Amino acid sequence: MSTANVTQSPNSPSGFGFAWRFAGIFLLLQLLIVFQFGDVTQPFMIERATVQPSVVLLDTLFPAEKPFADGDTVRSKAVSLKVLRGCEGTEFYLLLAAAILAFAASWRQKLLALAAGIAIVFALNQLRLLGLYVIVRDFREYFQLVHVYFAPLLLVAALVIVFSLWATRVLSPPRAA
Amino acid sequence: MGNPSAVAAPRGLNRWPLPARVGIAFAFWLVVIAIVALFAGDLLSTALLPVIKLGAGGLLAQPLSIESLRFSSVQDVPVFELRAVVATPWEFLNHTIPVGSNLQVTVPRAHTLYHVVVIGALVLAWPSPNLRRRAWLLGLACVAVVVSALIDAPINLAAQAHALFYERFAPAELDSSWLIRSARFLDHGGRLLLGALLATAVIAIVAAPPRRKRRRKARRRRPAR
Repeated sequence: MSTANVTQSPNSPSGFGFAWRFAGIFLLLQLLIVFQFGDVTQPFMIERATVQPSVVLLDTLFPAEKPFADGDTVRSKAVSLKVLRGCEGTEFYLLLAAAILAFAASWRQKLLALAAGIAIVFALNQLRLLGLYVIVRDFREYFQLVHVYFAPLLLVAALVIVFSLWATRVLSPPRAA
Repeated sequence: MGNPSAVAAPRGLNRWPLPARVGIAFAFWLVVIAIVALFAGDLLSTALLPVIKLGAGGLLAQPLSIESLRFSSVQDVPVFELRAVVATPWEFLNHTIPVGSNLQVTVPRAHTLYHVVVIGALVLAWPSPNLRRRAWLLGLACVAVVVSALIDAPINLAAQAHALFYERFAPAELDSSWLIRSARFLDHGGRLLLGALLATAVIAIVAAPPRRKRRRKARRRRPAR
């Protein structure tokens, strides 16, 4: 267990504004992207941002299996992997974006972090899909366990590390020249 | 990257710290508790079953009554399986549903374990000055897990039960049900948010009492005029 060794009090109750801002921004983003414009954003997120790029990745790694995108499904000689609504990983983009926007940094820092964050979530999501493809192909019995339980939690762990490294960098005093 | 042990004093609104140390500790505990929760899943699920039953009973529409809530598995995924029956004649969107009609819905047990993992990891990763504070954090984290079990799985089970009727009698009005919208919210990141907020509330509660004590002590030290 970690012990307190920071100059600012992490337990300061007055500091929980970040948590509530994070929740508020996440709710707003979710309301807009998932509920209000879900008919447009969800097919885009599933087909363009998830399935099609993963097919490019899979084709590079496993060309013999001839993977191809069939709407919301990754198909190959060995595997058929359908990406359902809610399984495309939109929430990971929203969680990281909400955390970055809720943190009191300059707009320049936030925009840079958002751009980098979107790229990181995209890469992690592609790794998740690649992992699930291999699991469906070679270890089918573990698919549900990894898909439902481990993959989302590992992605959250990775995103928390990314965000906390960025937050620490923002909070660190600039080095003297 | 700055040294996490030398984080600068809070600037502006940045008072909720997430130095690299807390983030990495969170990720570490997340993985550890995820593995432990997986093996203790049956035990945890058994302990939370009455809470989930209580929550689901409160959320189901009045004519629906719970017949059973038990463990089951669908395609090797451990699930909570709810069976409900229409206990009195039910007028549902101009359709009469006869007494005795029954339904069966399931939710993955992993959804309940998510909260154990997220709340546990955040509480364990949070810096604590002494063991007493740590014990309070862990104790309240258990309460937070119970609260999450009272919200998440019951909403999902009740939403699925209601969705069956909407899909059959009024598919166009599926989105009008707040239960179904709430279940969709939980499935699109709300589950993680709920766990994080409950853990934050636990940390805030445990952090609060010493401040009050300090104020009381300071008042006592002040000389009477």
